[in-house]
Amino acid sequence: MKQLRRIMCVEDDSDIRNILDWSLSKLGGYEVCLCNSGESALSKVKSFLPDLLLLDVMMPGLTGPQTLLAMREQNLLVDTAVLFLTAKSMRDELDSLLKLNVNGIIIKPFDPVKLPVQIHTYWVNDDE
Amino acid sequence: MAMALHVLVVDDSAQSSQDLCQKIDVLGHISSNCSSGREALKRLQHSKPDIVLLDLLMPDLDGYRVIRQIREIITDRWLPIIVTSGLKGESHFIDALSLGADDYLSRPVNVELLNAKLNHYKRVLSLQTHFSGLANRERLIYQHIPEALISFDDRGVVSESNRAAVDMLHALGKSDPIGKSLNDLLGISVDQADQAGEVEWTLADGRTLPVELSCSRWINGAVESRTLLIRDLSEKRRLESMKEEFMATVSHELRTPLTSIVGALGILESGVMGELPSAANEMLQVARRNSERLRSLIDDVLDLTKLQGNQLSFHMQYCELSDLARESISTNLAMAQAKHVKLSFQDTTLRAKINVDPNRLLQVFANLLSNAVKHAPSGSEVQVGLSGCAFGWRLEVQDQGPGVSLAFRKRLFEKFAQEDSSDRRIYGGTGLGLYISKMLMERMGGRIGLMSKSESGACFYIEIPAVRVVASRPISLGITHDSQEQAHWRAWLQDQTETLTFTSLVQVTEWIRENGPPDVVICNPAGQGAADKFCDALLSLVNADQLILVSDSVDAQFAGNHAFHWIRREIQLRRNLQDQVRKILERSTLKQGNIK
Repeated sequence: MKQLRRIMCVEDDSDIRNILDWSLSKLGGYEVCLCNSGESALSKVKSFLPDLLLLDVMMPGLTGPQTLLAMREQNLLVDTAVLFLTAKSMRDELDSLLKLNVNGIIIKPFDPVKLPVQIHTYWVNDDE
Repeated sequence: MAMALHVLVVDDSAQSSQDLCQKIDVLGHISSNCSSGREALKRLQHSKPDIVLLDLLMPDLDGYRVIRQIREIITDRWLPIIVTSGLKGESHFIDALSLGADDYLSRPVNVELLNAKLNHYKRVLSLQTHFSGLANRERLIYQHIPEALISFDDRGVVSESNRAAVDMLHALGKSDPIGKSLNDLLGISVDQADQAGEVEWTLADGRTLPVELSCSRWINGAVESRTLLIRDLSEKRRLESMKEEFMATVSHELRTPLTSIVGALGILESGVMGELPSAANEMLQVARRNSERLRSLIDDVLDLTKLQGNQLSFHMQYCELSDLARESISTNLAMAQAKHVKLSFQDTTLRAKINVDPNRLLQVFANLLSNAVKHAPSGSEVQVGLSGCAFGWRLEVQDQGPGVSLAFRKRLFEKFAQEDSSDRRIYGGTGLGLYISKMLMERMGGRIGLMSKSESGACFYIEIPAVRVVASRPISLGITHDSQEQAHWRAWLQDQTETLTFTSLVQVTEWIRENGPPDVVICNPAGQGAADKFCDALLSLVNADQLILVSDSVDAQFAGNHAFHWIRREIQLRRNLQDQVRKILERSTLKQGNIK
């Protein structure tokens, strides 16, 4: 089983980016690449080659789903697990996100202490 | 009645005409005259007198022919005609009245009689004006109601429609609805119109029009008619979706800063940034707890908005209540352990098939469990039990906390209800949990409540209709070893219930497990072991008031202790049994009626 090492986080809110960084690199020990928009993620993904992509849903410019589709279209996501990060909690909306064939959804607000474990669980399950 | 009448005098004799006009004017009315029948008919084309005084004997066109022609020309109003004549006898008056005259006066005209007659017609005419004004007013109101109204007879033939309906029909590509059938206009039958509800129609330009139909039946004389109200829901739908979008945005906007707050506090708490002094840690706990509360408030308010707007979707599916109970207990185990409270599920073989949205039911159940755990003393146990009830299946959550005060019981399921505002600080929570749970249960056809008498602690329950295999008729289950008795019960109750008979409690338990609780259980405890134990086992399956015990000799004290019905076997068994079953069924219909 491949080990989870590199995580790309796409989030427009700088405070949340900061917390994701603390949570995933300081607490989780992962190598983290932070992007503040879908556009920036698109340009960085080729060089960073993440094992896992953590993608905010509502962002100005490219939304999370749009970013995901663009990356898939350009074949930039080979062997990359994808998790959405969203403050939406309505079930119909969550269902429509899951239909995009992603590994899971992290609901905001999340617990930064538990997040590394949570993400790792998705990673392990994906492998099965 | 200050109104003066306009009286048209028709008389060929100038002298008598002038004489009559003068009398009329003196009485305070307004007169005008014509010297022939022809002139009178011509005058009536552009003048509108209130009443005509007509001489019967005139050359050329006599009074009789004038009456006939006036009645032919003037059809939109009533024009009273009083004929006058100096002839002896009454036969000419009778002829005139039968041709359509309203009244007569002999010549020479008695002024007082003339006055009395004119006043009489003034009263009648003013009443008529009043009523036609009322009718016109009603018609205008009908026409100007902003919702579309279409009235039709029992075959669906349209008799009236208002302006909004004509506009709506026009948008649907139909015109001139009067006399057409409802089916041709709207594609619905009278029966379908009766079933009020929301439908979508396709307009002539291809757009869809969401409408709500409501129909009311009325009877005028012996004629049955209906009026259909068609409410355009486009605007309502637009507002609903705006509101939904607004709520989604608000929720997103509130959650984003909250994510940073909760996250930052979590990282501080984790100690990765270094140990904090203990006083600071205490403050950190305060901030952390309250940000959690804010999070659940946002969730609850969002749920509530959707519930009240009827926008929360329910994904109903068949599942087993026992599975859902076990699942919920295992997900809430950690929360209970943190408070050193034990969660236990009563051992049962019941599966309890129900039709619900499992996620919504789990939400309700999690709410009950967390309430119970919150109030349970450390080291105590929260017990969850599953049983059948008259309504279907019942799940109970019993804690050993302080219970709910009588004063608070009434407000328990209201919005923002918390027994003590300090609860909020001690336990967190929003005060919306039970209110939301109640709404969720009602939407799924179930209900929620607090057991009225609980010896210690609080016992909340939810009840959900059972999914039945045989649902067309009420069901009685009979338990007796005596096969002749079984046959009797089936025969005696055949008009009242579907009656299934068994020899043992085990078989009945198995049946209930498969099919859900019955309406009535009848049993003869003879040969079923200790009556006490047997009855306790029965009462775990059904309510006491659904249970009829048939026995040779009944220990009244024993039956009284358990609140079930008992019948002595030897006395008028057939009638007593039928009566008792009828009473139970009536009561359960009443209960279910109340719920709806």
